[in-house]
Amino acid sequence: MKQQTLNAWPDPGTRMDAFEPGPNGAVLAALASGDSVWVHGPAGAGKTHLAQASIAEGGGFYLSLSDAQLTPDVLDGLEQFTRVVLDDVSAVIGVAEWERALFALWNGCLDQGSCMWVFSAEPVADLPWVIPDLRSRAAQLPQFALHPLDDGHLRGLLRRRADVLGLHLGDEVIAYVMRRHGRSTKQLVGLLDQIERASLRDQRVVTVPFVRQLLGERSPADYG
Amino acid sequence: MWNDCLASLEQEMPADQFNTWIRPLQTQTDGGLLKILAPNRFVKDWVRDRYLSRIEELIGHANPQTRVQIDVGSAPKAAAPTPAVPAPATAPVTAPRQAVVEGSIKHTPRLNRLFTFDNFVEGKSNQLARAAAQRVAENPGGEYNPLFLYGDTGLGKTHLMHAVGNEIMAKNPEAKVIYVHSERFVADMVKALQLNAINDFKRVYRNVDALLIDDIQFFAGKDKSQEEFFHTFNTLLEGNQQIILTSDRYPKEIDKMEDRLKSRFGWGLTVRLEPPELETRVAILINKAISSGIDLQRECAFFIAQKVRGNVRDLEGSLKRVIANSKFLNQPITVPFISETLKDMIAVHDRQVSLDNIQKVVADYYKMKLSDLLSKRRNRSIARPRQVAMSLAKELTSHSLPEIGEAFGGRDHTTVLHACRKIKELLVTDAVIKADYDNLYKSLAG
Repeated sequence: MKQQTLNAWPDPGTRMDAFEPGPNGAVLAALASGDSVWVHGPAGAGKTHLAQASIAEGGGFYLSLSDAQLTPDVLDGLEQFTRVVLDDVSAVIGVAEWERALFALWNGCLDQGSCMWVFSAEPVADLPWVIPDLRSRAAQLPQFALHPLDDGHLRGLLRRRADVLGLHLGDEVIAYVMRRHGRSTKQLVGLLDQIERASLRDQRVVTVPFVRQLLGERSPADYG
Repeated sequence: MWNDCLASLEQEMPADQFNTWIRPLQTQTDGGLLKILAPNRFVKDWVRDRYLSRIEELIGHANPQTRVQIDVGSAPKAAAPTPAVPAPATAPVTAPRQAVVEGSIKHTPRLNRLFTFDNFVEGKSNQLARAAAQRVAENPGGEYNPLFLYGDTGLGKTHLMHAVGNEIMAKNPEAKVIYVHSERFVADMVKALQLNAINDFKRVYRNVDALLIDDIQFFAGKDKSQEEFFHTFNTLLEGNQQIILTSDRYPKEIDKMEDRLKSRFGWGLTVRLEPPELETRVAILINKAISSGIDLQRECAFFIAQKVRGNVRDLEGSLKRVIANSKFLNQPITVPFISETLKDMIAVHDRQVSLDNIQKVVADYYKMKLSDLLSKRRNRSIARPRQVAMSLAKELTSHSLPEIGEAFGGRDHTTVLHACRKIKELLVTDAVIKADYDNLYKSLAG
């Protein structure tokens, strides 16, 4: 009988030690300083990971504004938290009602000395702001670009994530996965999590043949 | 008990949902009652509808006698179980003194102590506003009541307002000064109405020595707030209590604002803040750097002031970014370092204020052909826009006068110099040219 896997392991997506800084050390340093910041970068650069890990480890209120079920009153009174982390903020910029609520929250945070970390795909200047005062307050934050990881850093990311999961991952396995599964951070991370679950379920050490079998791929020998 | 419940939920739920909805909840126990406190009604309803039954199950499993209730509120700081590690937030800068009124309307003065007259950088663009504010601080409730400061966002209106409040309190620590953003005034009033505590609200706002309301234009269309503010305004004025208001526009131009309010706004002194000129921008940067403990070289400040347009907040954001990068990379702040750090913003700026773009934007603005702008024709309807364009080119780019002359149909540098002097003179004497120039400047430089 196969061992059932439970969703009961540390989620590396909320762990700072599973975050690969790569070329983004300045962003981490800025966050560590405790000041308010605006972080922008493309999908897959690690914005959500960074946002969630900081909340899991340092406390505060985290909210992704891309959830269509939310309404602006979700922001009421959040300035009471020492840190407010807003993810995917570009989803609501340009919508007057949301901007009014954000503006009230922003002023509340300034009043109370609460720190704001804002994560967005775009820098402040590229968003279609409706309230100039809100845009102006956003521009007051130091802005940092989160750059995508190169191959070396992607390997580092897989290594860190495996370490957090307590998974032994040889260099050859990492090289195999990287060769076959592109450069999308999301895809690579998803694959690693799949490998980890399968290894736990099957009680197997993670080797290249194991991964190949798991992914239903044929080995070079199969081709004769 | 709650911590065990949290640990179970963390295992069961996707991390993003746990982090957003469960982690920030606070709790209070009162005998057999576990009260879960959500920061607002939305979070309360969300948690109640989706997670409360599971929470009750987990709590009930370990403590069958305990009842669970969810409400809006926050626990006293010391009793809060989360966050596990205190967040490294900046120290609050608001004054700790509290004006507590029975009911639920509490008020802190909310003055930001960092905004003082000493660190307000004065230049031509703001010296009148500063002088007026200083006068009000020396003699609150006196001849300049209300003081109405207006101008674009990020030019120092809020700074001056706080500076007055801080100065009044420095002279008289017992003075009651309230600073409030207009959105907050409206929210407090709505809350007071809901709680049947409107009399407390009135008492708080009318029993002050100085009431400072920021961004009054946000009252637009909010009739009840305007009505209440109208009465507050009259009471304060009759009592010789000081009122200071800010807005992004001239009182008469605020849409959806009652006429009787607009006219009252003008009863005292109305002063406009202009965008700071280059020299003032440099001084602002150096001043902000000093307050961050950084010795910013003048050439570096000059470079940022020239390359980053926009308002004072844009300058501040850019400077903070430069300082953060310099600390992280352990490199001194030099012009090449700034150029590298801010290269994305500088690229946008350079694209926006290239000579070509200035010519195009000016020609579009005056609805004339680009070829006419660059032609030798000298009738005023063409020459004046050309002079405006040359003057903007001198102000916004680092091109020399001969280069600008060359770009405008091969003219001599003395022609450019004459154009710049002429426009400078007209900016003082001709309101139409001034409005045109300001509009163009804003659309080019943000």
